[in-house]
Amino acid sequence: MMKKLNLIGWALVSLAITVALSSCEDDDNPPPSGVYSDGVFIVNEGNSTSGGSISYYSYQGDTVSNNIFQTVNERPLGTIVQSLTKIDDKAYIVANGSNKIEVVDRHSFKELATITGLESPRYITAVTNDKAYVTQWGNGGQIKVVDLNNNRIIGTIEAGTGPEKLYTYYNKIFVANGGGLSVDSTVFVIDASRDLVVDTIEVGHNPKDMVMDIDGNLWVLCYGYVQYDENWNVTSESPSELYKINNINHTIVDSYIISNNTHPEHLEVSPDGLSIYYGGGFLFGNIFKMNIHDAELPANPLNDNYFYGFNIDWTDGTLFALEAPNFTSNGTLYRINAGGTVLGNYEVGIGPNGIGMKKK
Amino acid sequence: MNFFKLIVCCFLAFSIQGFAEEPDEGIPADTIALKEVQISAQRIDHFSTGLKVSSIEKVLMDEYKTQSLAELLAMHSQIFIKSYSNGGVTSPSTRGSGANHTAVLWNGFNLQDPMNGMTNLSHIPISFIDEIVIQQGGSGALFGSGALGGAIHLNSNTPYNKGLEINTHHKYGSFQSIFNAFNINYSNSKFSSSTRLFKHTSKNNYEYKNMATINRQTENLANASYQRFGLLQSLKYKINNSQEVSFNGWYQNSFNELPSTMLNVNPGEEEQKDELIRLTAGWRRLGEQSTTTVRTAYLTGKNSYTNPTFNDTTNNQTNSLIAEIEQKFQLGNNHLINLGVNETYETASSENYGGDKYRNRISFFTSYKIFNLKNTFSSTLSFRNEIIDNATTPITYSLGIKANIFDWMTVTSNFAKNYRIPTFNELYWGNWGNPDLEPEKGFSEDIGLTLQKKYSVNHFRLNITAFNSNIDNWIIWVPDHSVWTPKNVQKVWSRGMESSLLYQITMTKLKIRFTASYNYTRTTNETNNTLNNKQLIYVPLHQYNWGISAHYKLFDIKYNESYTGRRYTSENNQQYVDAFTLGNVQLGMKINTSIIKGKLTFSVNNIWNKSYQVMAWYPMPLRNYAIQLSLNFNHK
Repeated sequence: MMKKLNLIGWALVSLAITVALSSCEDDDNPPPSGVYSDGVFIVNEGNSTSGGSISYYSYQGDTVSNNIFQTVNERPLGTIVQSLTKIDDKAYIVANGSNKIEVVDRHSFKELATITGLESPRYITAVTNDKAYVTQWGNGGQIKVVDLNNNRIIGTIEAGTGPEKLYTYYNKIFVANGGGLSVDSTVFVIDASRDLVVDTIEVGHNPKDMVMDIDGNLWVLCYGYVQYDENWNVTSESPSELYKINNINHTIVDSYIISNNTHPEHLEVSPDGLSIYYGGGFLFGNIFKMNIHDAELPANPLNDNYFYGFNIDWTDGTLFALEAPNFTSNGTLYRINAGGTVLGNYEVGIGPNGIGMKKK
Repeated sequence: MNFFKLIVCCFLAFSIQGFAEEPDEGIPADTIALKEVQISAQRIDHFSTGLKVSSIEKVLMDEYKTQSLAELLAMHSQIFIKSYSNGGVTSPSTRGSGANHTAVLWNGFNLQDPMNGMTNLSHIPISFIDEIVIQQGGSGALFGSGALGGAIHLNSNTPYNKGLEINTHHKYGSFQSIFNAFNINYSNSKFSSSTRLFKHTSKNNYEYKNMATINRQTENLANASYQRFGLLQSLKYKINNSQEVSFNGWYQNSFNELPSTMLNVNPGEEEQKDELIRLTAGWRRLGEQSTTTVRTAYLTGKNSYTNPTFNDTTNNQTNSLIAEIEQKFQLGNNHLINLGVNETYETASSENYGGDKYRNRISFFTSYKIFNLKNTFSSTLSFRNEIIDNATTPITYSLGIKANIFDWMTVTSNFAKNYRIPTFNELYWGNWGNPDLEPEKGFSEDIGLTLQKKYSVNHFRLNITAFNSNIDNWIIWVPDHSVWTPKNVQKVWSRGMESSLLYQITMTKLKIRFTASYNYTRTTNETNNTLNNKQLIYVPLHQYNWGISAHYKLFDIKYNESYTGRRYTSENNQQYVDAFTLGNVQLGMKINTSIIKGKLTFSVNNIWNKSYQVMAWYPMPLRNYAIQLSLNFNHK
């Protein structure tokens, strides 16, 4: 079966190349296409024995193919697959448990390289044409600078504790220091041309995710800080919060307390930049939608489902929400339109957490 | 009430172990067994009627004196040995059951860790063990909780009247594996002492082909070294013709680095230290019509796990205090009755529990056996009831039959109800342990046929056993909102067959021996969900071993091969680890002088240089070599 798929894959890739070459005269320069060009990748964290995987949702077929890295490359992807980021014609898949990033062609998913020298990497973002930043939990929290031409690590920037997502705004890179297994309350601002931290924004406990709205304000989702005793009972917890930050002078425009005892992990923005969505995660399942100019947080979630992660396809605003019932059996992808109607559900891999797409 | 007084007494007393027993009915010996052994855990001898029981031949044990139980069973038993690297953590799986479903008993005392129900077979050196009996199939009524899938019976038992005997075993093998053992035994007609020491170190940095990397390059396993040291002292004293006291003390410490899987591009940094003390004492009176056994054990284990990446150190300690009294008596010529009580007090302290945990377990057990004079027919009915902290568990029972239809044909059959009580981890781990767990329970049935014929030079034996087992309340960790917690939710149905064959030709100078075994184990999830009818993870459907050996004068040559079929690693059976075949060759030469006897052996393991994994993405070594020397000095 694997062999067969591979052949088809290659046939399609060859066809794509032929088509691309024959249409060179076009000034439009259409994007190269391949088996995996027209769709969305789903990141499945997996468990320690089975490992993680990537699923692929095809718009054309309205179907999901699972385990595509293994199918194409005939080897496992790695453990705790945290994120996938597309940079140019490549996809960078961060395997947190395997301490590596697999680089593949994003149209064929054929393996190209492996980035090593990392400790508990989380997310990768391109900051210039030749350079990307990788957040990692190891060594007390760092950002590794990767040369995208040779996939080597060329520098290190000390970060706060447990750095998570990155947000690129021209030459300015925001880093959410998520606190890892303890606590941090800062967002770093890095000058990408000098690889230097130029400012530190104080926010709530454990900022994990960021988006920018139509007004150019940066929204920061803070998870809150949950402390446990030796018996794993919660001894103290600080609230989850939303911060709205002016992206020029980095001052706090507004802040909202989400909850004292639930802790969302994901934040998204609608394609028009007028609404944000927050929710999902291990200790918070629902997704809430809010207009960026509202004074109050919404009272009711989008629907009753519990999701582990979600993202928005910024081309049409469809919500890709992911349910992870447990970490031994497969999860489910729900496609939900902006109005909250479920368009379809599909079996994906174990522990799906996102789709590797983020509105810039 | 007298029983309880006796329990108290026996904490002070000393005792037991294998006299020449009354002639027993004989273990329905299997391929690996040639001679009946006198095993001191007498219940297995007398009341295991109908169970599939096989003993490991002494000759085979001699070959493994520089290795552990894990290595011996992996090549020569029908138990699947789960191994997380060469010499690393290892656990048994019998008839498709889990790692905590095979009881490992040493001199009759259960060694399963109260915290996780497991026994690391790599930590049991063969040089400390004199007898191994493997029993496939549940036997809860005889051996209690934990023996749901099977049991491995180990005995350290040195004979009387041997004078001074010194045995040494040495090995040097690939990956700087160095093993040395010294055994000093002294015995006369009334007293026997055995002192044994071993030390095993290995760098264990073997090469393997990393199939998970982009170039599939060859790498050396990192962070996999280990070192182990152990001391065992056994003492026995015959008070008179009918009474004996005995004592055993086992100390062992070990240090293991824990390698990471092939999926991790960084070398592992985790390590584990284990330290154990096992003290047992017993007294036995052998009468004409009755035998009384009183014995006690103190088992303690400490382990400390370190993960520098997360700055995490976990310390665990367990203690078990066991006392057991057993009275066996014969009524007339055809009836044998056994009555006993076992008291086990277990404690565990771990940073992952809210304080120290303990429990008190009292079990009452009894067996009744009827047999004919020629011992060609026997049947045993057994019961056990265990009370844990004043709460009773369901009564378990078993009925077994054995009949020698002809002198060359034996039929055995057994029906049993079995159980396993939850481990401390399942009850108390972190915030997620579930103190309301019920014991797992199950029924097992098997029927076996043994054909055996001995001619002047030929010996032939064939055994075929079919089994069925249904386990209910099987404990698995399941998500409950945002946390994981163990629950009695899984139903498992295991069925299959086991067969084994032995053919041997013995001539004056030449002996040729052929053995083979094959298992078919279909173990399915019967829980009513999407996983219904899926094979459980890490249960190979097919497994076989075969071996041939030729002995000529002082020389011998052996080839053994073991095949383990595909094992699923995902519950939906979409992912699996490939099947593998291992071949080992041994060349041996006996040393036979008037003062010193011994054997020099050269082994090639994995001779076909197969790249394989037992557990997913834990690499195992390619072809490797060892040279072994065993020496024996005996002065009467």
